[in-house]
Amino acid sequence: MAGTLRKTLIYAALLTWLALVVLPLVWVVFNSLRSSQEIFQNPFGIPWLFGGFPYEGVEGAPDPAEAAVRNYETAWVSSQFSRFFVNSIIVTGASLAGILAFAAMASYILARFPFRGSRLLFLYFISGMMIPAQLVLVPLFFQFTYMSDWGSAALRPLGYELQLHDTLTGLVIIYIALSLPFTILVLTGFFRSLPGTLREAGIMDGCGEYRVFWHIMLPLAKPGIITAAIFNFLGIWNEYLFALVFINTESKSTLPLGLASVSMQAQYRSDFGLMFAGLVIVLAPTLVVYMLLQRRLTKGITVGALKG
Amino acid sequence: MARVDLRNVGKVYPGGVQAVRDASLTVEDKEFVVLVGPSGCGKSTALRMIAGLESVTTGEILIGEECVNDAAPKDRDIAMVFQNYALYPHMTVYKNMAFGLTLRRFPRKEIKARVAEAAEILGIEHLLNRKPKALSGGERQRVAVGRAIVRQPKVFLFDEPLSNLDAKLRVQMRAEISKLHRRLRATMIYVTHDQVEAMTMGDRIVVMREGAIQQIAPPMELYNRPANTFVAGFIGSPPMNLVDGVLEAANGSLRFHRAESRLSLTVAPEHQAALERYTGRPVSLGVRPEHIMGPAEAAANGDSFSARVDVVEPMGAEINLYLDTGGAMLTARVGPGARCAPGEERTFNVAMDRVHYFDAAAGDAIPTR
Repeated sequence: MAGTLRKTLIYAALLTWLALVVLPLVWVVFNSLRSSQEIFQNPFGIPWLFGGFPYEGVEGAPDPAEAAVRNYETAWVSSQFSRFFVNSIIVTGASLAGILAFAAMASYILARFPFRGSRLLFLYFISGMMIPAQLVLVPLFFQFTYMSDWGSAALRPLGYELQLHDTLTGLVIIYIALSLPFTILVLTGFFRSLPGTLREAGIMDGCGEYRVFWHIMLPLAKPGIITAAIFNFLGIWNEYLFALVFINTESKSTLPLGLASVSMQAQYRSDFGLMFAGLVIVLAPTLVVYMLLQRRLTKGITVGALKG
Repeated sequence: MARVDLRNVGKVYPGGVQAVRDASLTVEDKEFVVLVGPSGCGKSTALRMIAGLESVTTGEILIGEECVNDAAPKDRDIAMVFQNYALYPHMTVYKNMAFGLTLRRFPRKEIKARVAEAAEILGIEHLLNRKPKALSGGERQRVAVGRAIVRQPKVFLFDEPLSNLDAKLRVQMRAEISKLHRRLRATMIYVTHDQVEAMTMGDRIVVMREGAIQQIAPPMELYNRPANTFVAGFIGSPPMNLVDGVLEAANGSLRFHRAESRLSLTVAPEHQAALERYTGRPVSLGVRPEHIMGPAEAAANGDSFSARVDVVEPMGAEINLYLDTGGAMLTARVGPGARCAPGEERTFNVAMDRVHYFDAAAGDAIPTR
């Protein structure tokens, strides 16, 4: 009896939690399929598209299917979400690639090859996490000016200009720098947990240190790298503050900036359907990434390397 | 195939620990040499220096005729089997075995043939598509050996490869590695802390202690003629009895006597001449347990002592007795017919012609034959 009660309570708690997590998402998706008129009539209603159309046959009534499509169409085309989406993909992809490449190499060395000052270097990286990002915002803004000047001076003979303000490149550099401390912390722990004899086995098999890293250690660190990738993806995909400060041109905006401008417009134009459609566009990739990677996240693969 | 030469090799770790000192050893082509000793004796360090995983502090190591002190492991043409197998967990058994060949850019067909051959030798053909985590300990061990075989190296190095297996599997794998050695006819150097493994597998055994080589000899010579008290006590189970005492002259012959005990034994006639110069000096007497005869068995060339039986351990084919001679404890291995009960006072015979004598101060064997 006690067992059944216990089970019931656990299931009740889990169901409540499920509802708390899923219902807001459902609400957002539903409202993205409704016209603003519908939303104002009943913010928590089911879209006319599924729930039955009350104005069937009434002259001049909006078509429910068209309302649903129109939100997305407006968001994607006239509100330039397609543009923002591509920008976000570029910024997030480039940042992730940079973060993981640099952090994996640095972490492997810090974890596996202690040298004089390696502990200090590790702490130096980690100390980056103690400084609130907002604090570096203003100094960084000015530093970017200097860096752009110096970089352009250096690159001019080659026919290039370095522009860090109001470019995706600048944003990527900021995201990489801000994410390295956390990523290095995670990956160092991961590389430390990998058995050291695998390196020796690789060396006996004929690897140099680079081959050991690329062919043996990096594949084994996959769960750690995926963990770091997911965390960084969430952070960068949704990043707003730095994008707002450093990106001024609308065509270079990322999704959070686009969403913000739409929601600001919604206050005046009362187009809430459009805002919800934008929200879904921002949310969807996060959900997809998480669903694809979460199984890998929990699966350790070092099992079987050594005895036991 | 090749011989391996260690010439006055020493290793000092950065912390100042001397792991190996002045080790000289020649492993002949196609020979199976076992390095044995208690943990921390430097045997693994010696092996890792041959492998190239540790640098050599002093002396030089030659493989073939070539000094490899500064050669990278991959250029030494050696393969190593690790204690914990060190299989790549993200690769299948096939890829694990093929990895070394792939890195050396062997043609695919050749790789396939070699892996298939090694798998057949080891009986692991059915496991080639599995990942290491789906294998048992014994299977992982075989894959680790297979990874070494496919490379067809000049020298095989084994670093305690059986110590993670259970007792039964260990005995089985021991025989298989010996068989493998005969089949491949390769030079093999094998490190273990288990003297039974050393005795059963090695053509020659190198006993090490605190970084120094104590003795290099074939198994039976090591057993019958240990160079010092350490080797005498390390090889053999139960170990050799070592009793400190003095040699005294009495009635024209020498007697070994231990103060404050009932142990007083006449030195065998053939040993008298060699031991004369130790008269009146402290020596250690070494007796293997099987050279102490039970009350029922008389030694042809022996002397007797009386002792109290402390513990009786019936092993089946023989019985181990722990004897108290009033100050010195002795272990005897007697036939299964001996009827002894704990607490009994009995008389035992020592086959004095099989006894070893050691210089008490230095621990070195006193040559008697």
